Amino acid sequence: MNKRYSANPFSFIFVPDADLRNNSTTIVFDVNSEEILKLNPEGYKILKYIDENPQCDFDLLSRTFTKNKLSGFLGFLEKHKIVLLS
Amino acid sequence: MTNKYPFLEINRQILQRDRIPTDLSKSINIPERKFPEKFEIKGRNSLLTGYFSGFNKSPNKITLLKIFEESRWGEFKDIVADFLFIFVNFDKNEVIVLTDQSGKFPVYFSISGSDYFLASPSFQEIKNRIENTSLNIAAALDIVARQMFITKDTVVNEIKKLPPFTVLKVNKQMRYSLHPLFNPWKSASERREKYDSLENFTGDFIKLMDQIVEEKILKIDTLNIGSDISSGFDSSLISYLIGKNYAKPFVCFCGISEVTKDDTDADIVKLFAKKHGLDIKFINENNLYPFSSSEELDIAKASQNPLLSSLSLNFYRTISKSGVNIEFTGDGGDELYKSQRLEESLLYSIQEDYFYRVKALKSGLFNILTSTGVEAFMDKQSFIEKDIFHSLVSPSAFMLNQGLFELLWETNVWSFQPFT
Repeated sequence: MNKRYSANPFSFIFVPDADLRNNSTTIVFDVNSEEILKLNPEGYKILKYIDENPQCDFDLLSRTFTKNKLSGFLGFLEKHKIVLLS
Repeated sequence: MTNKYPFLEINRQILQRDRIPTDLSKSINIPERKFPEKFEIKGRNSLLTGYFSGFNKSPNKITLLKIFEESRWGEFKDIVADFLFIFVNFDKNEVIVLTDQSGKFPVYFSISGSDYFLASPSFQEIKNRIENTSLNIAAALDIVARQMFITKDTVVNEIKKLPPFTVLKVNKQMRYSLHPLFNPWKSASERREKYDSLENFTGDFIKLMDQIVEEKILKIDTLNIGSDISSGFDSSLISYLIGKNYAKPFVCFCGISEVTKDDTDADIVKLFAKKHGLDIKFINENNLYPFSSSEELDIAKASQNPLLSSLSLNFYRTISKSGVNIEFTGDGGDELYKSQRLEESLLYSIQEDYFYRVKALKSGLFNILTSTGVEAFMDKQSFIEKDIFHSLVSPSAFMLNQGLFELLWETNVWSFQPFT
């Protein structure tokens, strides 16, 4: 069964004005380690997509984002619990 | 008009006359104070009053008035000073309030629901004069979370607070506007040369702190100095530098208790004092834990920053009884060491504020809030709508100063934080 991804609400907040000013970069929060991590515009777009499409799977994501970078980035999000799996 | 706190109470009718009357003794109350010094100057069409004590520069009253008449407030960015200015332009029917960057003079103000424009560093004085008040839930949650950034909101919807180094203008129509004078983006983008060694950085840093402490001591030579000391680096450095620059005897005050041994180890303080010839007075705070007395809670209730008041009350009363007028502290040191993060904090301030709340939940709030409480606490929309004001002084040092104002004013002590 495919992994399904949902964004962890405690790990991010999208702030439209600030995000625009910051050229679609943002920071996210690893709730366990309390580490703050930076996302580049591509990472920002992926997280936003997951937030807007809860329970999306890899197939759905790969229709919008480049496959080779996607799996590594999803692994990073998983590791830091920025996305939750179901 | 008499009041122990500075107070401004301008009637709508006065503001809306063709010209504001020049006698405003019933509207403006500026009590005498040893430090910072009270002043007043009248121009042809205006009045400037308040408190001003400059450290690196001391412009005279005429120069200060000119700055206000010509709206050149930006010039204050180069002046290290503690100040609260109230400026009234009789012809333009305009009132302006401005404070320095430190937050030592908080200014709460209100127009809403009354025929008066009210402003004072005392939150309670304003609240007492407003008939109908309502709770600002978002601001209350900010206090529960020990807010990270500065906003203009208070727990009372009808009362706002003046952000640091920001011009508050009230016009003839009794409308207010805020004009921040600090440009954080410019400050963050100013690149400084990197030190080639830690030793050079440390040397320059200590030299600068020495210069700042000396500058402040010269300014208040006739007053009695004391200092706050713990077994940490910041307050110890400041106490050492006072000893180096001040010819008269002075006392270092050290709060100790069984539950704060991690913060202050009395034995280390004694050894440090012995090495540098400092006079230490220990203040036993054991009976202040775990609960505050009802008197302290009453004081905390009246303040905008109840988390700070109870321990500080005991501390500053002891200092005041010893005849100290100026208390040096190491506050702002931790924040200064993190100042290289200024740019990041500016770019992602809302996000950092949000994650700070998550940490607060983790540290125990989750156990005492209901699920609806958690929902309100973490409501993303309220973060997105936040109006954050930035300052050169770190927000935590600024808010600490704001919370201490009433205590310092009542005990007739003024604090100096060379790190800020």
